[in-house]
Amino acid sequence: VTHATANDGATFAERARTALGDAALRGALGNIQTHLVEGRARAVGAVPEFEQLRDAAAEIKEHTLAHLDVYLERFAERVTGAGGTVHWATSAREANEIVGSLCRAARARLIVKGKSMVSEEIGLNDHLEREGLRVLETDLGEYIVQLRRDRPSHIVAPAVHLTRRDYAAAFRTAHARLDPRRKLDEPNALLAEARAVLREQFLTADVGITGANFLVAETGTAVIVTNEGNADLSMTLPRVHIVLASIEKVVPTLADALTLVRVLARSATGQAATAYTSWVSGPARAGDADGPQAFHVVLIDNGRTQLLRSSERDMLRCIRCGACMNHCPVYGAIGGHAYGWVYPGPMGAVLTPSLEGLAKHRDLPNASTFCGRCDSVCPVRIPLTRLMRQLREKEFTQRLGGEVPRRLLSLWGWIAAHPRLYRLSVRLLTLGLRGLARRGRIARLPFVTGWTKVRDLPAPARRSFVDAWLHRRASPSAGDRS
Amino acid sequence: MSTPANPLLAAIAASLGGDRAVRCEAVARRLAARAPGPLPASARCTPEEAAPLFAARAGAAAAVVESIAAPGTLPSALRKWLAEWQLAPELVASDDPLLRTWLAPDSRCSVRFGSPLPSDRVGVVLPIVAVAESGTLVLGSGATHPTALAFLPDYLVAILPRSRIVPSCETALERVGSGRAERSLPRCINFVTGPSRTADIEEVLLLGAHGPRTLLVLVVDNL
Repeated sequence: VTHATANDGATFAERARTALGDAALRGALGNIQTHLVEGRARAVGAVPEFEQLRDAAAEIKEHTLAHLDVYLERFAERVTGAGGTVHWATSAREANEIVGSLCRAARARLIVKGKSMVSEEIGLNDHLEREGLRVLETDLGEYIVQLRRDRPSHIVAPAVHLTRRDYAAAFRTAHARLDPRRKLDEPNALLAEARAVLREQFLTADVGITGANFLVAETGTAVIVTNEGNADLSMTLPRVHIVLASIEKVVPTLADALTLVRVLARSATGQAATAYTSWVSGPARAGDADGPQAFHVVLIDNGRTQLLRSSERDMLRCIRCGACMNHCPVYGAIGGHAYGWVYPGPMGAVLTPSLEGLAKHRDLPNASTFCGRCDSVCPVRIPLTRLMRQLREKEFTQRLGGEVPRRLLSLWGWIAAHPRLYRLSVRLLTLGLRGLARRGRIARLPFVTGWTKVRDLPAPARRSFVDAWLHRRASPSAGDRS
Repeated sequence: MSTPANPLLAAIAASLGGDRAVRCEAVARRLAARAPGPLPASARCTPEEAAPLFAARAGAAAAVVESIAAPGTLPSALRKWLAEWQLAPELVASDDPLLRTWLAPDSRCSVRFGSPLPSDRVGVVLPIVAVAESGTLVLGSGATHPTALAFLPDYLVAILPRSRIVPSCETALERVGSGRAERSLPRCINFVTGPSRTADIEEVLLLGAHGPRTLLVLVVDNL
């Protein structure tokens, strides 16, 4: 089974429909609820100060964004001072070219990679392969995704859409020189095989590429938060370490990074601390026992400078924990691929149109019930539902949507702005809907049959809230029996 | 600082608007203040509480923590664990003077000091500090400690003097930076909390991904 992947020409609605019909995907997405959502609740519950930490985390990111040019300049000075090199990439194309030329200059026969969402965003692997370079993902989830020529469907758990059977099938094809009769039923057997196969690659790779969770301006340090140890092997053993980071990853001080690490791990995986948090400042120094000879940081804009001046600027606070998608009923039903690009869930519904264009992705901000769970768990308090609403407003004012919904919305807006008319309309609509109902449920709505195709609409109460309120005020003893 | 020559920085400055000099001042103030963030209660404890809290939290992260009375018993403790793991008595350890003193005199175990080879099964490290808040070991790269030692061998053993356990990550980073010029940090600092792990197959937690499968911490009480 191949799932709908990025930019395959289908619309959001088509991809969502395909996903809803995929029983294996629904089973896999259930794992998010049991592991990530409950894990976060436990980890957050153990820290009474968590709301304070969220406030502090949001303040750090907001402050840094407001002074972004100065902090980036300071970070670059520090990296250079430590013997590293900073590269500035305005676009995805520029970033790819920089990494490609660094790998060619290092005569890289093999490049190993830690997980990096910005590398997915710029399509780095495709670029490097076109250049004839061999690049290998080493995070277990990213590895299986690469073997299947698939796309990550989650920013923290990239292979959440896959099952152990998918792993086994891909491993049998890719590791063809191993005994075909070996057992691969158990997750531990799969992990042991991936570990053994990738171990050889770490030892022979010439270049290691990782992302960064934070860049510390104070010290010129890249902070990399992981669990598997693959990123650390990738940045320790090869001769060259390249860090890819979008410009909003910078934070002022080590203390600020610690505050963010405290909320990141708990929000992402429900851990008080991940297995590894690594603080890297420059290449190996004279006398160091090991470490790469060259250290490069590629700072990537790719639309963020524009986002910085837009009304969706708060999105740049995002620290990529994935809590918003873990808690999103829409993501939980359709998974990540339906969102059509690299970033899924509520954060993707804001970030994707902001970076790639609202015209191309106008469905995404509408793929929300506005239940607000994303707002309530975001560790940096991004007002995701407000940002999605703003994007819906932009879709309306820029006339990106269809003409019929536009007219209907205008009509609704006009009625809603006239209270008497609104109340009258509600009364008429209530009468009409109750007339359609059988035993309190409406099985088929005329004109909007899509709504009732797969479920009934409950009939409205006899009185609207406002009418019930007025009635109650007029005769307090009557109580509310509507 | 004047207007940046770098076009990306210039574009960011244009997006932000306002006066760049004002921003530079604010940044200088923030960096000079190095104000700590809110410290959760879990990151505050007395020196007496630090070791038991560390042990409990490292244990929760699937590390094995054992107390030993004095460094003199380290060789026998290590031999016991190697036998438990059914491994040959061979270790590779950080080339640290303290580790040399504690581990070298043992004729029944071969110890190599320096960088790990792919065939090495057990690595031994001496953390600079450890953090009670999260049960975390803090390792710093340098002439004596190769970073790869904490990631290549299947088994990682940390020998941790009890006095090196501090309450919070903040204190730990201060400790790592102290005594170094201009608070400069080692090239690479590794916070290690438990053995390596993954949940990438059906979100089920498995220990031993690409780094160590087992992490043993020997806390030395009299140090």
